[in-house]
Amino acid sequence: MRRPVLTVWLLCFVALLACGPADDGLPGPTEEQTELPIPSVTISLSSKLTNLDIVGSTHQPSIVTLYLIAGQLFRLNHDWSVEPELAESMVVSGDGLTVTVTLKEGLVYSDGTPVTSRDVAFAYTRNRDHPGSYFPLLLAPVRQVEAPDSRTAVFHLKEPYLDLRLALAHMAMGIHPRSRIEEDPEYFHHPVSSGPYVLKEWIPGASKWVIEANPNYVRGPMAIERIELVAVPDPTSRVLQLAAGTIDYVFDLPVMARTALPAGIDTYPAPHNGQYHVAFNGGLPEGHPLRNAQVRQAISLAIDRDEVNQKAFGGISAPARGFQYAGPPESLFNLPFGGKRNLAAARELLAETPFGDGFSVTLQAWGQRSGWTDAALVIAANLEDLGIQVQVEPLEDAVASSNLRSGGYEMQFSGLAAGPMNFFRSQWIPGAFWTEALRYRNPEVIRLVNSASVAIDFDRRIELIHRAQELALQDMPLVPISERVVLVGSRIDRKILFEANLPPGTNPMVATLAAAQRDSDPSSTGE
Amino acid sequence: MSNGAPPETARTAPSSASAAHLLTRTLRHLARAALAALGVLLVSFTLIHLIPGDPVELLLGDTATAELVAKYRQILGLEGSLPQQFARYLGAVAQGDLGTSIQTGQSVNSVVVRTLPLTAWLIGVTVLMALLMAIPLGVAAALLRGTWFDHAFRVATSVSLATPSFYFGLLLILLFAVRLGWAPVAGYQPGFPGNLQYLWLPALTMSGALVPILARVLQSSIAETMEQEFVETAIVRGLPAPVLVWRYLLRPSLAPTISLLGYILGQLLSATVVVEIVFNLPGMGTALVVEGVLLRDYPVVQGIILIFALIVVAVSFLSDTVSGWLDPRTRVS
Repeated sequence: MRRPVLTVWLLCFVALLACGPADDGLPGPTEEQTELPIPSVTISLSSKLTNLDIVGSTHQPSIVTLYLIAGQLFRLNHDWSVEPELAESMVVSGDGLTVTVTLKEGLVYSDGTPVTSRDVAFAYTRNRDHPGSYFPLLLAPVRQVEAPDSRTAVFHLKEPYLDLRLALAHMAMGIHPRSRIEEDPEYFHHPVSSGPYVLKEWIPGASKWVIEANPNYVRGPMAIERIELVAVPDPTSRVLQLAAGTIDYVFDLPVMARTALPAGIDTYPAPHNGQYHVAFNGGLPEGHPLRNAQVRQAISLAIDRDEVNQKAFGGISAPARGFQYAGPPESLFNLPFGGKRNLAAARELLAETPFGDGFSVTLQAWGQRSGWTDAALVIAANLEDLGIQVQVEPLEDAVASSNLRSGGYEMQFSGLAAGPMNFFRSQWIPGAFWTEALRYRNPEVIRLVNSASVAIDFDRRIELIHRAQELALQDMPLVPISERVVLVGSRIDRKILFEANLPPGTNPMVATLAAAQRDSDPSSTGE
Repeated sequence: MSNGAPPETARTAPSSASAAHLLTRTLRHLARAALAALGVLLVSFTLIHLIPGDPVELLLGDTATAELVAKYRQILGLEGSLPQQFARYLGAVAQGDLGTSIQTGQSVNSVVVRTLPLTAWLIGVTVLMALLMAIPLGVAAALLRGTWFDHAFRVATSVSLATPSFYFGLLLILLFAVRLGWAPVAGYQPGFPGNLQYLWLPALTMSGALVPILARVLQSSIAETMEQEFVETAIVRGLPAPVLVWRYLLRPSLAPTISLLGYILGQLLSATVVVEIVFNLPGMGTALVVEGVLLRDYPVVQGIILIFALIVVAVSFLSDTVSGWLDPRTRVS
């Protein structure tokens, strides 16, 4: 009696499983969205939004959101040029020490209160007085900011500062109302906006937050009216949600996803304005093979950057040719053989050192990052051909970062992303993170980079910074590997997102969305 | 000797003695819970501080100077020796304050309030779903011993037990969410009954590990019960099948399963960590890993682990009580 019942039950279950849509493949993409404005899109990031104050806002969600909800005097373009956002004009005095910025007329925040130069001065003093990470990097050359009237901000500089416009386009110089910040300790939980979007829903640490187009934005209206940002820590879940259509845009997809997603979903690399590299710990004991510059140069020659790009990053990460990513004029492509592998030259170089028979070393990698451990494994295999036995050690981000600070590593596969001059300052000027992590000091390189930073003449700057790169090549404190690129997956028309118009030094997605203005002609952008 | 009645009819203890016994048991459990909480606090505090990675460095990013990091350690109350920090933390916990998140500035109490309901729902639905599947399976496997069903049951439970929950979850997402469209791929909307739409698939994933254990224990337990004389007597008396199965077979056999359920709740809570991340559910597991461990947010990690421990102790107490109700033989000690 019981057996037939069970059999029927099981048959029903199997039949239930078999019942699917007639087309039982993955759902295809939604219809291409070209009608503007787009009412709402959902975007996934890999972690939650924890903070919107510039102090402590170093995680991707904070950076993304801050750029979208705070207007700046200038906004970055894809070619590192800047264009005015809240600023109408900028006049530099003859000696380069006084810069006067005039705000556009009639600027208001999302709540209708006026944006004034007093708020601009406050953005500077808050960076200066409030302990934060960005001041030394961006605003150290600024001595004082005055607001003689409501539309004029005067920057008094300690020394000429060619990159002031870039600094004023950084999220740290987002403009917020001084009075609100001073009165409300919780202001950054519900900020008003002078930028493209305004924060609508957010609980710090919650998995979802919502921004809506700021009706008072000076360069609006926006092409996308509402953006839901969701934290999806698991990369596979990001792929599945994009495939199923619950997410419209994914930043940082695993490279394998390119072939796994349904046809029609756009996947493409978004440059991250940085490079992957192998960092050497300059604080290792004397006599350690990696303290020898020729050994480091041999390692650079033995690494097959093309293979790393293909095997670890699916061919989207252009092999490095110099210490900085391609694009900015500061970059110098000075790696021997154009960065191509030359094992014979590497062997020859290594043979001239006391370590010609090879040695063993550990290569740490940031194991949570897509492709980084794979890259380290390819490098380990490359170096084995040189007689160097490499043990790859994938680490949690927190541990890898901590090891860099404490010197608890021999070699580490890692990456840096920053604007052109900060890229060099970050790794060669004492006090900067990477300089300290590499324990690298070359007085002449430091002098050249510092001189380049305060040069008034742009050609002079380029000449100085190129000389610094030539010197650093002799030291080889790190080995550049390939350009940092993030794979994006999108159901939204790329032209609308202006993907080709990414400002550098920021999260590409941010600028993409901020640039997506309704009245712009999508077809005018390249792909 | 059996008188032909199932064991619950043997309850004859005087009510005053029962009340005293219950009070003693409750006090003993509360003392055990307090000790467990203290132990968990100490262990979690020590472990999270021992593993490499500094929350302040993570907060400030790689542009932060050493001076700034030191300044922030002071601002966030992370200065002083570990025993001093632990004493400060313990004092706050004693007053019901689980601390403040280093990364968000939110109180950990609010993180718990925000995330606990989802995790509780997930566990509740999982337990319900697991029992609904395990009981019929266990009964059927016990009654059909030696048949093809019994063999299939053994193979299926072994496979299910050997499958990691993250992998099982992804398979279920592919089948039920992506292919069949019966459930959302991920995410959550609070509010009953709409939230069940988001919970049934994660609960099914967690049940994948729970059902085989419960069903096998139940199968063995029923097999043991079937050898009892009172069962034979009931069969001889010609009782209807539902009465026989529930009153004479299932009820006396359920106690070990329920006890086990209480004991493996800790395992279930750890499974929520993985499953919540795979299904992108903003519960305590996600908060523990994404907000806590990865960002080295010490107060969040310690607070959530403490709540987990208290839940395990409470459920263990509950399961003991329910087992005692189901089978008085388990109340002896």
